[in-house]
Amino acid sequence: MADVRLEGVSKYYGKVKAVDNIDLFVRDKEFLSLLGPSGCGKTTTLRCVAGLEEVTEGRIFIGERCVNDIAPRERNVAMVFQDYALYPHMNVYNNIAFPLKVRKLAKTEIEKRVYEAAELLEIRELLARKPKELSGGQRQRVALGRAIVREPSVFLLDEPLSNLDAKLRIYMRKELKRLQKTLGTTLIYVTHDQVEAMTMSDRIAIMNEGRIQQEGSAIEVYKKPANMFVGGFVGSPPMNFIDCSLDEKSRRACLDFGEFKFDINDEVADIIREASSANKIVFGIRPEDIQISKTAAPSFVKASIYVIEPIGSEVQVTVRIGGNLISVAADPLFSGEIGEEVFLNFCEARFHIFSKKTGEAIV
Amino acid sequence: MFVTSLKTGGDAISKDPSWIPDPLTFDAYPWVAQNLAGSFEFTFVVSVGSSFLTVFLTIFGGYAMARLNFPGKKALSIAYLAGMMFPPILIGVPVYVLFARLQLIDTFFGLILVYTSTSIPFSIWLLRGFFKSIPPSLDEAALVDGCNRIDAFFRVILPLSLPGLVVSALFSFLMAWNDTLFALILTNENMTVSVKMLFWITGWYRSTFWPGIMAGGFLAILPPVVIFVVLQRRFIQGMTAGAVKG
Repeated sequence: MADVRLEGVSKYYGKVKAVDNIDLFVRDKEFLSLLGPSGCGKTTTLRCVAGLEEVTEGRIFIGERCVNDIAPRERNVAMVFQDYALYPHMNVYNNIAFPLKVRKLAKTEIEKRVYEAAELLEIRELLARKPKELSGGQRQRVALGRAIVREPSVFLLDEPLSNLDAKLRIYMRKELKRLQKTLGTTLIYVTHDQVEAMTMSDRIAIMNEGRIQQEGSAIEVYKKPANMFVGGFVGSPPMNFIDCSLDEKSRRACLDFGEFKFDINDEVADIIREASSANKIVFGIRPEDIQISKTAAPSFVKASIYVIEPIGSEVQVTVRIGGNLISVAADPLFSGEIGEEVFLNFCEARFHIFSKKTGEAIV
Repeated sequence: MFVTSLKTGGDAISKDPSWIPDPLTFDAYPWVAQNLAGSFEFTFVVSVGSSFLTVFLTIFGGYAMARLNFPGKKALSIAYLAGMMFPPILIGVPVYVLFARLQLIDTFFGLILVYTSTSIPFSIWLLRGFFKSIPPSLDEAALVDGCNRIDAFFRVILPLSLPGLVVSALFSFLMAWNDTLFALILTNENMTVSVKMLFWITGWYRSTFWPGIMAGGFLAILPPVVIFVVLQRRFIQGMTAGAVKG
């Protein structure tokens, strides 16, 4: 078992910086997700840890050992690829046994470990089959089995659920999390699916354009996003962003959105004033932190329904206020017509303020 | 050709040709055995030898072109392509002079060498396409699982590329089997089937037994036809490997 440390890791492809000066520490036995959109550098980072890519700058440690110049086969990592990479000409038994045969383990030991892994993953009855005779979920388990038998220091999983259907994905999320806790092995998981990252991980590192935007637990990155990218990427539907400015003319502290104003307390106003040009800020609020009503009330803002999307557990209502479209998570019984007048109340304690210039969180 | 091979010598050159031989005779085939057996043997050995040598020499080159990045890779690709564009006759005289000095005229090895040399560019391109059609993640999985590059190649990639190797071997075989140019230039006593047939057809030998020549021609085209019919799917797969996802 081991922790993984990346110090100032960068990876260039010619002039293109795929990974930009990453510092990351993954604790022993931790489940850490690298979350981000396509092209953000998360898979490249994972491949650098595996040794499949050579880092351009920086160092990678697995345990106490710097592994920059160590071949993948000697890093004691196991990797599950997005397409599983099962060897088509070998049956399931031989696929799982492959890494042990390469290391020339005794036949009895190989058999013992393969059967143990197969029992754990419930694929004992599939051992004689070839990969082409397996379903997607079965192939994924075989790929996991091949990783488990080696008893590696670190598991590296590159979007292993992306090729599965929605229902199977939900099932396998639970199984993977349970498996990782059972085995107690450090695991680095790459995904673009924020639900996967949030439900499975001990911690999440959110990446964009080759850099880590924020690290933290699911609750931390959700409740306290470090910047607009994190706020907009994590959460479904995404956070609402509305340009505004601090109203310096009014007697009470408030944010001026043009069509309406929103009261804030003096302390928050002071923070905004200190941190940024008060005229260039962005108000962020999650859909579930907005109350929607059909009747007017003090401090409620008038809006009109743009579209209603019932999803069962709630109704996602998009409303228009002036030139802004705002998503609201309404009660599952909410109903309305397009164009109908409604009233919104923003939860005072749950909003965020970002700098329009840098995108960084101010409040 | 086959119909004529079943005719008598007189019927074969009759002013009124007929589709159905009358009388029907198989005399041409013992004649082929007597006059062309040695040529068939020579051609077979040369074709098989060059196909094996071609595959052996190009298998690593094809893999390197498909998977690895190294200095001069682009220039080498262009060189292989250029090699395929050269009409072989351009190098006929230099090859003869060189082989004469090396005492390789009229030898198995001489022809094997020249056929291998002319097959290599095409074979490398073919195998490159085939290796490219194998997902790189399989190589990488093998590297992470404990293999070095060579191990990964022999344990994982090579078994999967067998269809490509077979196609490459067969293409080389056919190129050697069908060749007349280099066989004509580099042989005297040991003639390939195509050269011997050429001599019979052009009247080099005094008497011309046309049913025998037709029988020889029919037997000469049999191996390529059989190979193609039996393995046509593999041919098409080999020719289109890598066409969709490079």
